[in-house]
Amino acid sequence: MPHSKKILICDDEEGIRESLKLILCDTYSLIIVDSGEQAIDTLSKTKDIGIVFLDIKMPKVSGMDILKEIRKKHPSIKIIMVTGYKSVETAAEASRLGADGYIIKPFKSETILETVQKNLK
Amino acid sequence: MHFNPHTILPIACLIFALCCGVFVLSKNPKAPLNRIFFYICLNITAWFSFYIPFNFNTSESTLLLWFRISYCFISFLPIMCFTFITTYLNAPQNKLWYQVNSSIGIIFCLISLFTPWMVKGVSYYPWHPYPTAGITHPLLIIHCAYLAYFTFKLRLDALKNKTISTKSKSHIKYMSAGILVLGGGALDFIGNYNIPFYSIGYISTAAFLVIVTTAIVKHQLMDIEIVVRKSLVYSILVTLITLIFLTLVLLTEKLSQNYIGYHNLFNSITLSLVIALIFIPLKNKIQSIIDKIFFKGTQEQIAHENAILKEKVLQTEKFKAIANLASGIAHEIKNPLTVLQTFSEHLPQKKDDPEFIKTYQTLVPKEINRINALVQDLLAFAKPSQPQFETINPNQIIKEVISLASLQANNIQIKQNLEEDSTTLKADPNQLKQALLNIIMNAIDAMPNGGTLTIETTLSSPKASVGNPAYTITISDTGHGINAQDLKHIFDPFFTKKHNGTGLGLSITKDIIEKHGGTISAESKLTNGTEIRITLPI
Repeated sequence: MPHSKKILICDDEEGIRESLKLILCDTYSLIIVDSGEQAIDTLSKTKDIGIVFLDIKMPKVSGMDILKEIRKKHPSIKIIMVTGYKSVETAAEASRLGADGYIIKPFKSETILETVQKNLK
Repeated sequence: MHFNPHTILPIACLIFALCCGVFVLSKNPKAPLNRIFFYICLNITAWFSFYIPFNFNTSESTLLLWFRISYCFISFLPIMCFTFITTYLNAPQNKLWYQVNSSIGIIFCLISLFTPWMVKGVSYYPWHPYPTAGITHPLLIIHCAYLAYFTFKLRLDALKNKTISTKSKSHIKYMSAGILVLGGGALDFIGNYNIPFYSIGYISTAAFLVIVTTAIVKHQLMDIEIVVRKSLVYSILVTLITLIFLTLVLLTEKLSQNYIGYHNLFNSITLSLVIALIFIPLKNKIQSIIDKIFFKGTQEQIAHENAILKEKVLQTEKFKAIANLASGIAHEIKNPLTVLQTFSEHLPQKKDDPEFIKTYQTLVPKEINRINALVQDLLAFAKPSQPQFETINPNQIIKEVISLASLQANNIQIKQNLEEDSTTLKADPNQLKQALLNIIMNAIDAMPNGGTLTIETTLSSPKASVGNPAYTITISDTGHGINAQDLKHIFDPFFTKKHNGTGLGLSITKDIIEKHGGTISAESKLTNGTEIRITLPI
């Protein structure tokens, strides 16, 4: 039975969206969007979203800006940043802006599942 | 007017100071060092202006006033020189200390102007009148010495700093030499105390101006060690030649006084003309002798050191570019790797799930192709093949590229406005096609909902343009445009705002155009479209 809280996946790459869907779809209800603007729109319209997986590098508006926006309006939602850049500065910046976790691509399925379990306690 | 030949060189120095100041300021008006040097030159100009009234039948009261005004400027010269050195050395500037010393300069200035305590009178020497020191004059000398001490202390501290480069140390020695030479002008203070000492401050001032102007304008990137030695030796040479000239003038005047009459201008002018005519060849001859004796191989040394410096700069740039490239590669390759990793992890459990298999079959080959395309682009970027030049008809190439691109240009109107067909130029046809295709595909991607793509060519003739004739290709679209911040980076490797781009297309295009001896530029505004202009030599 899927968890009561939903997971929002926001990434402009189809492959990443499908990968996260493959890992999580058996256990969780998922909402999948391909842009930051859609993510903000979905969060304003949908309740019970517990976690957001948010890509950092996206065209038009970057993941960091979307993170700031989401944090302002939804302080209790857990936000996990997903990125290919492994840098202390980016991780620190994400943490400063209110991210609850940081995942580096390519990621293992266990890592994703553990992150979700930890943040949806 | 009563012409005094002893004022020729000081007035020449006055004009020289003004020219140096304006010249250095014009080179970089915003640089603090250039500005301070300009103010110093203005100060020196004002100071030396007191030689001007010696050519007129000026009354003692007017002379006294003129001396007092010139001392107003002299009062500020030490603090200005100190500011110059601290700016040059990027030394910390204690605000209070500056305020105190500037205030001392202001006090001396006011004393000079309104009281007889700085300049109490006029001493008449055979060569020209001279200001007589008042009771506060020694304080001015002490203030100058005090600031000179701190200047050299700063210099010593800077030289002791182990982290500064050898080049910077040479720069500091150079500037110190300039200030030291200027300090030679302090000998002029002797004449203020009723001691008939011929003032030669303008010689050291001229040498200081030459050294510092050269340092600021010409030798910023060279090893100054050699220039320091050269400039000092040449300054001494100029001083010696000038002294010889002065001695000759004085001797001639003495002879004139005895045999012809003192007010004979003709002798002084003739002598000045002779000296002026032989000065330059004499100076050049002595310079070349000194070069051979002391600075053998100097030009080769400088050229060699410049080459080493250039190589170091190029290497640093190369390492920076490699670091950026590695970072970009890592990032671009991680997305496809994530997909391959996740789907291969789930394959054992999900191999009988038709939906999984369908997604697998769609995504995995696509991501593998993506990695392959990245590798191909990287190879093209990292090891671009040299263009195989042949005579081509650029219109023909453009038409072929448009024909290729139009297969993907749904809802896009393509307009062509091409120059006459007879134009030819030297280019690699395949590389040029690739370059143009990259730009046109970007333009098409920028118009997902349709729009207009315009390709224009113009030919600038030798008469119409300055320089060589050129063939210009302009590709413009009516797409979403690029913001000003991103526009600066569009030719950077891995810079992309597209979902599926490697970010190398325009970097490769730029490389191709530059290898063809051409230039590429872009203009764009958000929602107004983008225009890329390529210019190729004919």
